[in-house]
Amino acid sequence: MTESLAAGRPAAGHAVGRAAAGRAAVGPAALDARRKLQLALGVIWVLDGILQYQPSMFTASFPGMLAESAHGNPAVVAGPITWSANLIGHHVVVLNAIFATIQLALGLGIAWRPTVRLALAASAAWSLAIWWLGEGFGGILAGAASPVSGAPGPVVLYAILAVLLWPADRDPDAPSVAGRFIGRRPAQAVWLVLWGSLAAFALLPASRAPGAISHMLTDSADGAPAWLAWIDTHARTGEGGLTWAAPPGSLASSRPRASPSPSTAPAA
Amino acid sequence: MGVAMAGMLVSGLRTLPSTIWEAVFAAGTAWFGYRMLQARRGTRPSPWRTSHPLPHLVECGAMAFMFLILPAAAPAEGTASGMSMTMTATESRFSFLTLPLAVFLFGYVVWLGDRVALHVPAFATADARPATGPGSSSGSGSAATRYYLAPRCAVICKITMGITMGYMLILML
Repeated sequence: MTESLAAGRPAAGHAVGRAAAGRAAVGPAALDARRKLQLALGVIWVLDGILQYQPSMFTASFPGMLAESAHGNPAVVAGPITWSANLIGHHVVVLNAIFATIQLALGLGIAWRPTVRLALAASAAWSLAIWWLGEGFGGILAGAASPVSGAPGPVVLYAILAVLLWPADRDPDAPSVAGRFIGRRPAQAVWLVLWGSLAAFALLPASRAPGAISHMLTDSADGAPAWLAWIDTHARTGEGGLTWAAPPGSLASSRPRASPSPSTAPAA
Repeated sequence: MGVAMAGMLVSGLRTLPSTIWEAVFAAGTAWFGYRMLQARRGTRPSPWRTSHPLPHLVECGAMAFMFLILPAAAPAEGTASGMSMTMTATESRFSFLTLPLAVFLFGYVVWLGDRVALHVPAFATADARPATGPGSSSGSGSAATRYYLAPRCAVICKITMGITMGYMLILML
């Protein structure tokens, strides 16, 4: 009952708007596709914030994880990463609490309509800062980018979504939500760059080296919850049966070749 | 629910044994499950019952889940720790449930935030007639007029509880 009253149960004939807000219960506006996607982004930020509040993030492991992202990057990129990791290492409790609160506030700010623009703008800025100082640009400049390891960096997707879901309609007739603000062609270009980059990273030596993906899956299983580690372990086992027999682009290179087993009789 | 959550996090705030809370939240889960079935059948809820029982069903179920799964670790002397939020190997088989429960609760929190109106009057009418000004008295003669205090505060409390409960579930990952 409380949420229906606080939300202002829409009553027939009431005008929904600022002029009528002081005199009548304001009904919630309908959720269009863009608003639903904004709320989904808000949920992700809230989840990120709560994950940041985990006890392990208030230990030295957090700045240590940040410092690792500097490896292999140019000095102009790695320097600020190392500096920020050291700063956080000296004040990990306070700074991690601030970071977690910021992310939680971003999610709630996107949810609350009066602050959605401010929250989306802050979301884009914060995402880009994390992409640099927390993820080292996803290893793109370090030559170690791989979709399995998260390249081009998951947090950059938050920044992309914050821009694409901006509450303005420059192209109201765009066939997709993504094109309503920046236009359909720029939106298509954004997705083309994103998916094209994922495909390019999958072809880099970091992804094609023998055992590269299985090693990444092993690393991701460390410290993960038991059910997630089970998925990673079985995915690693399945990936181990696939090898590149020829340069990529060849059909023969993509055929799975089962590992020989002593108990398996050779095919006739 | 807030009292139970406080007791889980800080042992000094524990009020009732875990078995009683399990029974309470199991009963709450059953009640809101019944309300869900009633809502699906199209039964119009009374003004004093929530029109959205699903979040309450999930919250009660999550509380019952946490009380059933987590061990009630005895706090060490001089510490204020509550129930251990880490699970044994046997209990961790059910840890896959904590993430979807937490995501649902965060979705509920965001949904509440979206529905919080900027200007919420101190009262709302129980029927479709337009509400009068905020200064009108209860003796206005409208039989359908009700007075409710601080509805936004109620929503903020629910948001706070949802975030806290989600945090407790995340700790169980």
